[in-house]
Amino acid sequence: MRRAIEGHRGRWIGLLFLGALVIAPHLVRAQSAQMFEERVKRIGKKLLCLCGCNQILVECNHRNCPFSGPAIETLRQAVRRYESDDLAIQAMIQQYGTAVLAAPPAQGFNLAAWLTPFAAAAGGLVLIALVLRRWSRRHAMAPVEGAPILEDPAWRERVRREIEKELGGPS
Amino acid sequence: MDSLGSFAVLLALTTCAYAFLAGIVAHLKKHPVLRATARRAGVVIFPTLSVAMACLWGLFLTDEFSIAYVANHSNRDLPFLYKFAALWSGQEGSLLFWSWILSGYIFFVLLKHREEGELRPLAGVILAGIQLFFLILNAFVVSPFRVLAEIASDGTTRPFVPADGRGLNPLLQYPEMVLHPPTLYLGYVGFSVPFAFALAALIMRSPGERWIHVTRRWTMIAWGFLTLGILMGAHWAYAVLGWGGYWGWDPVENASFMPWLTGTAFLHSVMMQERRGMLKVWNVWLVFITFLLCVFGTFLTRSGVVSSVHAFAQSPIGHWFSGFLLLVFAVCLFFFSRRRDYLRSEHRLEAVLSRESSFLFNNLVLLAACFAVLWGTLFPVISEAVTGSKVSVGPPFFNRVNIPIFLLLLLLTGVGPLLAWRRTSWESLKRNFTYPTLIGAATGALLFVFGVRDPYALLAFGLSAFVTVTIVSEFYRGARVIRSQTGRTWAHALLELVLRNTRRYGGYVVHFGIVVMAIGIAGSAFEKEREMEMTVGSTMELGRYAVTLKDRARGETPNYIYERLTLEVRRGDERLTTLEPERRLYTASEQPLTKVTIHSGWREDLYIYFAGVNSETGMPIIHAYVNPLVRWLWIGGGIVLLGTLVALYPGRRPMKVAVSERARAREREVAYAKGD
Repeated sequence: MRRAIEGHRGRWIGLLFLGALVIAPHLVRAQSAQMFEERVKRIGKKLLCLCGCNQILVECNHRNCPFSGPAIETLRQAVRRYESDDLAIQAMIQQYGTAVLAAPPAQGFNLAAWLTPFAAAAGGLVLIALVLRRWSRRHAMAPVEGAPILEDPAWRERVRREIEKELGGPS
Repeated sequence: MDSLGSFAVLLALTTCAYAFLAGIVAHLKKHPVLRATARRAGVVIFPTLSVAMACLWGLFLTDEFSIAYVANHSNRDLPFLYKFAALWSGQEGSLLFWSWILSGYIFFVLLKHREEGELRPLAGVILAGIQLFFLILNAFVVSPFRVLAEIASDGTTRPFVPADGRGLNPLLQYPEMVLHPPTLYLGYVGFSVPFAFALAALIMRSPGERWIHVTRRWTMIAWGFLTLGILMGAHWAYAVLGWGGYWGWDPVENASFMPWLTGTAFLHSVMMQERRGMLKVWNVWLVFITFLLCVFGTFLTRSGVVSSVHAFAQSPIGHWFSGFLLLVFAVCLFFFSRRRDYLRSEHRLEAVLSRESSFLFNNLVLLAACFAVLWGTLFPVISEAVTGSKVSVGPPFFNRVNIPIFLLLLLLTGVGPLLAWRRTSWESLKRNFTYPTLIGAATGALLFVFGVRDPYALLAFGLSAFVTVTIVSEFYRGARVIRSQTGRTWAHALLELVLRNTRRYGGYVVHFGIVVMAIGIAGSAFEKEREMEMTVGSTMELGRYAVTLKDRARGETPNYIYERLTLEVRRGDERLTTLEPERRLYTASEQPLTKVTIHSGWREDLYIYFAGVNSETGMPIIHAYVNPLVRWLWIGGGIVLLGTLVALYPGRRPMKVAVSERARAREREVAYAKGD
């Protein structure tokens, strides 16, 4: 009896094992298909649709778009062929030119695209620092005249007016 | 009706030319009668162009397809509302619409500012000059009243009337598109008024800040409309275009955003001139640049110099705009070089830690953002000219460059109002910043503990908390003083506070709106998406939602045929709603459109798009997004507009302080003078 039960169990385990062997490749395939799609999406977000819509390649949703459909198919092929994302992107550049990149590559003249805004902001900052320094130096050099600050009626009047304005003067 | 419309445009052009030329002569010869006639001519342009507008609307509403513009942008079955809005859906109509709005601004400026001495007449002449340029385009280059013609077999041309029009672009058949272009144009064109007064003041060496006082409200009105226009455009993109986002850094979106940035900088720096007589050169150029950017925006839309999703109305009139831009810039530069002496600052900065320097930094950051957007927009053209090969500049570039800049701006939104004019002591700095900084840091830390790892999102939420605390503390402190003076309730004290200085507290409301918008934008760091081919009865899981396809149906309306999906949305065991995305084919234009459906909530939006049909299986493909906090963006925009309205409302003088309170007021004076 006990042997019969053990025999049943053995058969069940064998069946389960067999089932797992059959299902496992499907599971692995489903998972790798999902990973493949995620990779296509990840790389596709670095590329632009060139139909004129200015949208990210994998976000272009124009029906019958003459560019995004074929380009996404090319991208899928490139992703299948190359393990490296960079190589897949290079394949897309070879096919469609650098214009397919959603952002200019940080090399050569295109480096200017990335650096110029920050250089301009830094230049502005330096300019403001120079202006502030010049203004505060002039202020520091200005002679102090008359009565101490709080005893000067003109100063007090100015303070009073400004407080009034600050707390609710006319707009 | 088309003849009357054309005649009205020509009459407006003649009147405008008179207003411009007679105004110049009157200014040079100091001729009061000529000046009065020039003013009257300027006033007449608006009613004259209104006749032209009424004619064009009439042609649309009566399906007058003998007119090329009507035939190209309307059809018989187009709903009434869209026939009305079709007027500004194309090149010719939108330029006439621009002219009409400008004439409306001129009308009100000339009627309202009668007492401004010579400043108003000269500003009127400058506005007439701008108007003249647009009327020349309306009359001779892109007339909306052009009659359709065909070439007969004998080689002669004869009028041609098609049986039906080609219809309106389906993307424009959305309720918001009825309001988006008018509001945007009201903003763009509105900046002509401060521009005209600034240039007039420069030409006349008008002393003081008169032009700023005159144009302050006009600037705020233009800025408010531009804000509303941009928000409506973003909402339209979100609800119609179907890519799940609201801002794609499209060149035309950028074109509307750039004058908004410089206009915002002007609204801040102008306070420096009003209160301290500083930054006069800066302010004049900010107004000039804002106006030039408004024209540049139209140039971008019309010229096709950069490709854009807004290519509804491209034509070769770009060179007209580039010529106009160059002319305006040359005029500004000429008068600036001749008159810059009068723009000397009256005061100098007394301390680096002051409200003045915060305004300087705020302006720097806003202009840096504007430059980054301009640079990114034009870089493809520049790169092609230099290297010969074309590059694209899309959302990844703009996001990477602009997000740090905007976070810095958010920080300044909180810091600026806490600094005192002229000088801020370390003591007051410590007192004002301790709680906001602690609460901001605690917010960031708390979110980190709860699993938020995106550095920009953490910074955005932390800074939003910081700024909110600074704004609340400003209202609290002001209301507390009024309560102590009057013994009123908190609600009354707050109302009194706002009414005493609507501009200041309206500005704080605007700042709070920006904070709420920043929270909404930061939410985009956590969006999720999924695409799935579905059969009736199948379910897609995304985030907390389960979307089940219940039905698939086809049908038609007089305007389009459609395929509609019925989707049941559940969250856990709770049935939330039914969504019905559609794919449409508009019969007149034979253009497809996909109708997006959105289930919106405080925490997130479930955004569903009918992406297409699998050509092999025939099954529908659904693309779904979960977009966190998007509703906050629209609510923040509403708060910004509310704040603008508050700031526009005339403030009233403070109530007289009771005698018994004078001692306390004196204490504050002393504390202020000490630098606290």
